[in-house]
Amino acid sequence: MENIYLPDLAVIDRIVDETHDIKTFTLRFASRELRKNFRFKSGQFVEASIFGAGEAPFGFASNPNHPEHFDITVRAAGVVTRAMHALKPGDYMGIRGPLGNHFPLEEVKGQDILIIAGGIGLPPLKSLIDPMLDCRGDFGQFIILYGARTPADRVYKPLLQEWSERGDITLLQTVDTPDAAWSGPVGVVTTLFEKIKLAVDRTVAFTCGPPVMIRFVIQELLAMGFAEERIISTLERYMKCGVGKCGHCAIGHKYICVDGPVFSWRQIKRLPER
Amino acid sequence: MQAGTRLVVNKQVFLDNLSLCMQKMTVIGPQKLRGGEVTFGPLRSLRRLTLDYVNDLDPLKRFFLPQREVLFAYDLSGKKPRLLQPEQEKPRLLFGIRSCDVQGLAHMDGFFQGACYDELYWARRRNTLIISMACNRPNESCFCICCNGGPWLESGFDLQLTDLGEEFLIDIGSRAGRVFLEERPMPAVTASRRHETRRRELMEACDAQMVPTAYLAKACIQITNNRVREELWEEMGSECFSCGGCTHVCPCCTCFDVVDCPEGAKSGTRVRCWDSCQYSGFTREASGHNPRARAKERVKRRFYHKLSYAYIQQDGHPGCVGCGRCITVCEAFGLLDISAVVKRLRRDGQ
Amino acid sequence: MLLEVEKGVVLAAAPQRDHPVSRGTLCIKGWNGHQLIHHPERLTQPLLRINDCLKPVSWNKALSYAAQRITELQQAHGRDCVGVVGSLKTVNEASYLLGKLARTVLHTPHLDAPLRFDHAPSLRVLREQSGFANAAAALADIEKAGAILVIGADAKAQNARAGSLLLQAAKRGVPVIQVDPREQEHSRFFRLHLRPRPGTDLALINALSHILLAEGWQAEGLAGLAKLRDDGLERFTPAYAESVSGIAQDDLRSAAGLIAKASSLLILFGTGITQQANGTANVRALWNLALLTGSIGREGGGLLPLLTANNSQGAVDTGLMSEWGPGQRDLQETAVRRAIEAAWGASLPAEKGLTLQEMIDHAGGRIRALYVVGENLAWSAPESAKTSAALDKLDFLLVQDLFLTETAARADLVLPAASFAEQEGSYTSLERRLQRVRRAIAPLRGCKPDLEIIQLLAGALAAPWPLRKAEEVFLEMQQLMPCYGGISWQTIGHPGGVLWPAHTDDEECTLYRKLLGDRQGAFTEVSTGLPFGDEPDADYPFTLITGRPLFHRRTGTLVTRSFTLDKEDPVATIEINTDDARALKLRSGWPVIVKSRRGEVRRTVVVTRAVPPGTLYLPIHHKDGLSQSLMPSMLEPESAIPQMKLCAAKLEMV
Repeated sequence: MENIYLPDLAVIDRIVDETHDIKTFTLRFASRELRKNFRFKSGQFVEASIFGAGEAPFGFASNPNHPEHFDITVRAAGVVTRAMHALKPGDYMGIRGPLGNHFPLEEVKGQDILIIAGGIGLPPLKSLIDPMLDCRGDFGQFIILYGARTPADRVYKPLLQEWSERGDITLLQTVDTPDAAWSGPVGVVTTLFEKIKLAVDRTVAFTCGPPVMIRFVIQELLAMGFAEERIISTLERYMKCGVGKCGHCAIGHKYICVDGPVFSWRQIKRLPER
Repeated sequence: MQAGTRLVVNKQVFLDNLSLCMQKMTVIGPQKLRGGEVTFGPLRSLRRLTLDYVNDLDPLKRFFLPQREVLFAYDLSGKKPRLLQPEQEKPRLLFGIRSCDVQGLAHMDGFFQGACYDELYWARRRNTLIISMACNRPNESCFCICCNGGPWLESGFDLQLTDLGEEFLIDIGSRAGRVFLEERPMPAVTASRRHETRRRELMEACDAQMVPTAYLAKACIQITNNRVREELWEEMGSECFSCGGCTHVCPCCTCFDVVDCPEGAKSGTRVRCWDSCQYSGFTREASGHNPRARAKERVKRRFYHKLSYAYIQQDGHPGCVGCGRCITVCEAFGLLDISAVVKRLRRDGQ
Repeated sequence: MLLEVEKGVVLAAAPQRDHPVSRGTLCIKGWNGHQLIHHPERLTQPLLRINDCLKPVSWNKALSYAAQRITELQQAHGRDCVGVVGSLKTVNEASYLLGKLARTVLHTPHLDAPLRFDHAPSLRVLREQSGFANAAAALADIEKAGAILVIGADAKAQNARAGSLLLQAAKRGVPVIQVDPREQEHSRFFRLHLRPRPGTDLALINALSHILLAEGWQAEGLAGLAKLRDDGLERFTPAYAESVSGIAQDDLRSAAGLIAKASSLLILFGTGITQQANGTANVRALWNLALLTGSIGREGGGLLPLLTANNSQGAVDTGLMSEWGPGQRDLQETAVRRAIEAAWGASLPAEKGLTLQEMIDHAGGRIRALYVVGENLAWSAPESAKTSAALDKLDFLLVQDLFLTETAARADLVLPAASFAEQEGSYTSLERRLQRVRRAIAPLRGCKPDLEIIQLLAGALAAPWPLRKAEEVFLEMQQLMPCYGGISWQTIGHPGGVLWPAHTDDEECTLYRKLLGDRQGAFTEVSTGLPFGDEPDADYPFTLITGRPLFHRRTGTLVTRSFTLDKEDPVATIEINTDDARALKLRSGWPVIVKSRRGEVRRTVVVTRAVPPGTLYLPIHHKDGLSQSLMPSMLEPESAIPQMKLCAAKLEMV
């Protein structure tokens, strides 16, 4: 039996500066065998370690159809993440994963898709959008709404450009505080709802972002008439072990790290302390 | 010998055999400290062993989930980090553990198995023989009869001893327990009617001495259905000193924190340490957001975990074995031990 | 408290059921404080400043360097150019020898303990009135009190044991009267919560005495009542107190009524009333109030100052306060000096020593060298910027500590000390409970216990001190400390130790009566009160008060090294009243700059009704010692305590 707390070593292949305090790390496992056998699904996450600083959870931010590499997007907020920001390509990290449940990608085939992301909530949804776009024909209307504090705080700017140039998806972006160059909408992400048309009975909504944003998004979606199981969200809690043992991320009797992080509103609604 | 048949062994003979075991394995048993406090620890001889004890205030879960445990060591001196797993420990024999703690282990067993199997816990569990001692005499804070935590158990131990004065009456709970008896020169006889009667008398006497109560049934319903007035949680939250003592001493509480302990820049360990859901730092996120910022929410959380049907269904029983330790560590503070709280819930609104 | 040790590593702490005070309980710091013992930042080598950089050196080198520098400076500037600052945390035996080292080997009068900063007035008044510089009550009195007055203290946060006994008393129906501008978590359980304007406690306390006297509610058989009334109390009418403190006369009368009806009055007080312009006057007023109710020396009554550290009382007893030698004996008395000189075989410095803040103020002038044991002065003293500059002016700063504190970082030489788990000795709790602490593990490699370091330093300074164990030192100091008489090393090793003076019965509460004998004490002067020196005005419209949260202790050197405790208090906050916040358009969670006439700190706003309008509450925060940078260092005239509890302040948006 193996020690579930023991990470595997992964090498940093590439580091991209997304914003002034967010970086994306592209990683590959050091062991060839692991590299060959490693698979993950959209919405799952890893526990990434900097030895001496600690461990923190990050959602996969890349396409699960290409598991030989994977991305995590990290904002420097605490001890671990600040230590990660000091790393260079070629440096090692410890990785445990994949952990947690995943987005219902297969189950929603044939449906219209609505993605609502806020700030650093986009990376986990990117791991869903990427494989969906790989088989774009399997889905109906495809809308992505993205809100950030400022234009500079948006992650994946080249990718957003690419998406906005695609004819087969709708990408709308908004910021709380615009800069001189910004010509798009200003306001919280829910203000974008009035700019889109959708059929609530054949659309599935996915959302990820700050807890306050998620709360308002879900309120609006319900008001629009979305069925509870058609609203899929991620929940976030302070997390330590990632394997349902340390107890930190428990909400009621659910553990975000093993029962989540992906939940439908129907499930969330039943949690005693949401 | 068959499991289920009770045997009787001369006490001194049994203890002499225990003493012989100390050469080959780590024998952990109750010992008296200065001032009379009893604590469990490794024994080198019978000299420090005491049989005059009720229980250790520090729960014996610590021998399986230590307060501080190395998950692995790291070495960054080379080009590539090296991770070193902790060494296997010597086989151990836990002698004199009380029924409530045995029942606590059963609770932890359930928790640490499953899809995320905690090998560190199980390695200790597998290499430890459990010889429990049923309680002839409860503490003033014991209420195990309310929680199926003793004073006698049917399972969970390898051997369960009943102290009959000159002899131990032995229940065999596992193959390992049977082998332990068979492999040692211990003349054992099958328990007679006289022994059985004495055991029953002791059980009844012990039951009669239990003072505290735990009216779990109503509290479980109230908590499960969220039928406790917020004001009552509010009041209990204000009383709580957030010391974390209740979770620290609870045989069913398993939460831990994980931290890196560097020893210089190039090496160190990652350790896990007991943590408590009663601390505000337990759920505070890096952003500063804290879903359980107030003691009220944390007290509520503790009892939700212990007594809601959601958890009872998952674990098979409430998260309490009736050891009464939370009564002791909270005596000074807000009187928020499980016995007091379920009483307050029951009486509230009546 | 027990420590669980495996292979030389302290794994955990556990309470003792057979301890008469804790009775099987610990507070959050008790359960988790042990994490500091093996913290990676522990100092394990002496550090010497070479080319403005602290470099590891051997113990031999460190000690001889210290001796050489001190000797040089003393030769150049006189022996009293050296100041010594004692610790409130280390063992009695080390404190005793530190005092002896200062007064004989260094032969300097400038020795003081950080108690100066929190309870100098309490000790002064108590000693003046009762002969003993310690609490005139025990913790067990809380359980027996007829009524309890809690003033200038948050018992729950400052002393969990006192706080829990207080909560239980309140829940049993004992009338608890709390006097504090700020609402505390337990206020809801107390009978009466009076919220005076900050700094107006004197008027309030005296008004309570005034009412008792006016109504004839005082205890029987008291002498000196007329004098008390005519010489001061008279003017403290309820109407006057209302005009000063803002407390309605009816509320004052209800409070006095509750006190009058009770069998005894126990007064718990903290730094809220001592770190003020009227610090000493406030404690005097409390003494009079307690005496008026006949509560001094009575079971369930008396004065209980909530001293802040584990061995605050021990620091007083062993002679670390500037004015008192071992056994709290007055060094200005010739007989006392003779006795000590005879015992120590050395003469004592003749002049009066400087107090702690005075030593800081004279750094670089009269004081050229400072030896600081286990105290982060740079953070604990008011006006941090001034303190740091003062420390930098010293020719030689010697610091003995577990960690590289902000003070140690400024030192010329740092000596790595051992933690509580690594040393033998005794502590004396705030209720005079003398208890042994035993070594759980050997000192970490490179560290030495305080007791050993002090003796080695004495040796390096050419004093013929043999290296002795704690027990031998205990026996020696007992000879000079009548209060510790009749107590054996063995008895203090039992759980709970001994409440001094030694007793044979178990009636701990009546102890104080025994201590006082038939002396009920006399009334003390009623002072008019001094104006507070840093009043709010148009530029600084708020009154800023400080306090300490539950998981915090002193400057946080130790609690931040426990990761569990560190997690409890990550954000430095400032509390502001809801109405004030609305007027300033501030919301909870927003950053703000708090400015006083001395400095500024950045804080996160908490909007609450717990603080009254016009008042800001600043929790002393352990990760930014700058909290104290705002507070004034001017001294209260009688006890030389800096007036660091309150000051005028303003808020600025970031």
